[in-house]
Amino acid sequence: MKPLILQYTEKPLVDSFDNSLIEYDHILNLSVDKITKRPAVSFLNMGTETFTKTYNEVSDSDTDRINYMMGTSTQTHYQTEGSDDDKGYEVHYSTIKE
Amino acid sequence: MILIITHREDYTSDFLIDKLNNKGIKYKRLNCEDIDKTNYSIDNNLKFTFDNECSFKSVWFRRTKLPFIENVKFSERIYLQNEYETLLKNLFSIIDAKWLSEPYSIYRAENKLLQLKLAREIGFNIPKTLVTNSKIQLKKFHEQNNQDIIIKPLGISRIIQDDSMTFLFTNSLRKEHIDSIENFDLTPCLFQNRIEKEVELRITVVGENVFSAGVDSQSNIETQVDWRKCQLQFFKYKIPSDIRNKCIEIVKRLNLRFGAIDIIKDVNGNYIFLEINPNGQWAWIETQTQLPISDAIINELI
Repeated sequence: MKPLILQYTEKPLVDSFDNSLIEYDHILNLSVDKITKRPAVSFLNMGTETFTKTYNEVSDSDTDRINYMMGTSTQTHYQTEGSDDDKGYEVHYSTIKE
Repeated sequence: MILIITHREDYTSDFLIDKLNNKGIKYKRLNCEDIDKTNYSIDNNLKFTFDNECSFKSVWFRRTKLPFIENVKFSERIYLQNEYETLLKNLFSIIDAKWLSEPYSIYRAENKLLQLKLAREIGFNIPKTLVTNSKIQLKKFHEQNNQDIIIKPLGISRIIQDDSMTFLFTNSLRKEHIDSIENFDLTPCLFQNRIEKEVELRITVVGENVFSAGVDSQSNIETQVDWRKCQLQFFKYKIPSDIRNKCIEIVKRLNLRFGAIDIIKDVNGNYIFLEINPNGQWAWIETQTQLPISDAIINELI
């Protein structure tokens, strides 16, 4: 099969962000700078689209499920050896450009 | 109490939650992928309790994501994933609160062909549109539209493979492809006539509030067909009252309380509806234009 639509795939031109700088804060209920604990949204450029995901604005989890069920994505894999979610979060964060 | 249903990497939720924190407004954030790690129950009265809270006045439905389940067989993982998804679907149905917006209305509204059908009924101009697996029909459509048509996904705009991601933007259908169309397969996608743009608009509707932003996508060769390809500055843009009313109307007709609508103003001054994102993004627009979208969302929720 040679789908026509797949002749138009491309990489985004926007810059990515060093995801290792932020972590999820369970008190503030949002991602924060690891060092200063400032909410990440206060210094991230929301206009990069990396963080605001205009590439994919649908709500459903189905695509995530299909991908990781088939073992093709680490997208939702919190690689939780032990219960350290944040560690997995960083791995996840670096693999997805939302 | 507001309940926010999303996942950890939803930075648009972060954007609003930062404001809720600063204003001291009470809420609970349900990150769906962590539901297995957070205390929840549904009691004999079918009342949902999450993180010791059961009284939710409103729900902001943003995103879902399923928990990752380890150390079980593949088939068992599928079973458990389905059960978690079913749990979420049940929550969508039993939480008796004001929703922004109802999840099943959102899922229905995410169908682009339904959007176009309703938009036309309301009186919007829409692009000439074709979805087909017939190469003959596609070639005819191409000829009828001055050999100048676009191709875009019917649903999802990204493909995830291993740790990389590729995207499918809106693109002009290339002549080399139409000339050798017999070599390709036509899977579900949208073909539309390409419109000569003056400006592109992102119109965010929250209840009865309308926030209109424009972007000069034609100033950059990379963004002439799809403004998402590069970073562009959005600006406040005044729209005619009939377009404003139609934007409110389509959100209502889809049983939504929120919608992010993409419209083209063409070189002849016509406003042409492209699509509505029933759970679309808006934080970058507020950041760039100071349009108070988050305040409107908070007002809907409190």
